[in-house]
Amino acid sequence: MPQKTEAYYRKQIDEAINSFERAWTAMDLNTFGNTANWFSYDPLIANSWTRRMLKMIADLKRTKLNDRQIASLFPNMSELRVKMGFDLWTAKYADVTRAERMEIAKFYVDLLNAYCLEDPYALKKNVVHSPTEVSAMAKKTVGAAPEIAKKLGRLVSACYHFGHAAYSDMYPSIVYENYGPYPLAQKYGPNAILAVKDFNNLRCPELWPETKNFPWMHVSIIYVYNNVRMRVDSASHAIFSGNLITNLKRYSLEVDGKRFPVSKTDQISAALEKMASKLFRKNQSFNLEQKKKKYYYQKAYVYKKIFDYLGQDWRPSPEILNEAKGRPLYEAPWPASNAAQIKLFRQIFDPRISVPKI
Amino acid sequence: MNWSKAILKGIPASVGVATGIARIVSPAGKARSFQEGNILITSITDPTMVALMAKAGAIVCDMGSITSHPSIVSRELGIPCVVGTKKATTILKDGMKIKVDGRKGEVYAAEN
Repeated sequence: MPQKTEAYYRKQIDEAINSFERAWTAMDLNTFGNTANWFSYDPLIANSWTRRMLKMIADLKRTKLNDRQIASLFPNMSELRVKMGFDLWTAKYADVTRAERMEIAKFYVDLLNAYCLEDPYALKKNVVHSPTEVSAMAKKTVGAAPEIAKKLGRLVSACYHFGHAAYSDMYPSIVYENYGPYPLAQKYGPNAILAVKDFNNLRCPELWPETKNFPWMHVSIIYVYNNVRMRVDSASHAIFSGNLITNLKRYSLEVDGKRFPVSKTDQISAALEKMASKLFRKNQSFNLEQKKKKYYYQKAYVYKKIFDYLGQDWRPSPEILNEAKGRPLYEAPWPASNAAQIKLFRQIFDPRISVPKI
Repeated sequence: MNWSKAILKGIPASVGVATGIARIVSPAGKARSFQEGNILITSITDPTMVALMAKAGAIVCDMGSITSHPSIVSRELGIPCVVGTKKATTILKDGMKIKVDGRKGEVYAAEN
């Protein structure tokens, strides 16, 4: 266990910023033009949201929970990383001190290091399972075929889009998480890796009453690939190289904790596809004030289990909703060049510096 | 079938080669005529297109990067995908016969 000195946190924050830079500047920001996005919506609630986070951190410190237990109250580690990025970003628009920004950064640093086994900021991977757990997961898998890989692909696509529709393009990891890559023994084939694609919170009546009676809540798929490279970034994206259909050698599918036949996945896929389309259309039909309110509820939902544990209301407070009410979306003045944009991103994420006020 | 030189280039997002009929789909729009194997052409995919993506032979988008939705999903579906072409929805016409090379990030038109 490393000593948590100021030098330790400096190094950790540098690593986090390096990972955020790689993931966030790889995105095409133009794709967020038609959806809620952090850089337009979050600055509107910067003061009330950042104060809420600081109070939550202080309240958690008064509990008996350790860092790993607190981390497990988040939907998953990808969502935790994304929230670290968003909260550091938002704090740059808030009237808070450097010490308060550092308090937020240290909170996330401690949680990620307590839960992740390596690469806490997902520069390359998202690893939380021990070798023993990986071995046990590999033993659960059975032989695959391209037809099976395609059916699983449709199911993954449906879950993924449900996450986007129900929780916005900013918090789809409330649903999906990609674990891995975990290297496997040669007996599983050439360059074998194990990956887990996990989908949670497929019902969220607190945000969408339409999902109240949705029959399924959790889909978990274990994959054994040969000759596929996998990378997971700090914004929860999985980037695979290689054909995921022909290179899938083994798999395991569980729905709500029970083995589920691939032959019956079309009914889940079709239901999720229909629900994803319905929720997205509904959200797109909202006016700006309704969109803002829904987005802040989605943002707050990430912390639901924490606030439930603390015995507090998880929903965005009246102060948060009022801070944004009636205000136009924030227009971020992005520099034209890629190099200047990377520099600006690094500055905004860095809690140690007070500039730029953008 | 003969193919033109590449009429469109973008970011290669999912490997494979597919040929099919181009179908232009507008954001949050409906494409009733979308058939199995058609090539989905759009500015950027959204959740209203998820059922079309499951039927598509390939996906081509104006916007996007290798971590955008169409890129991630097409890799899972095992279909070619090219993103960030900037002008797919203006250069390609609905009903065109096209070939998509997801490794090169190129799109070709059928020549008579």
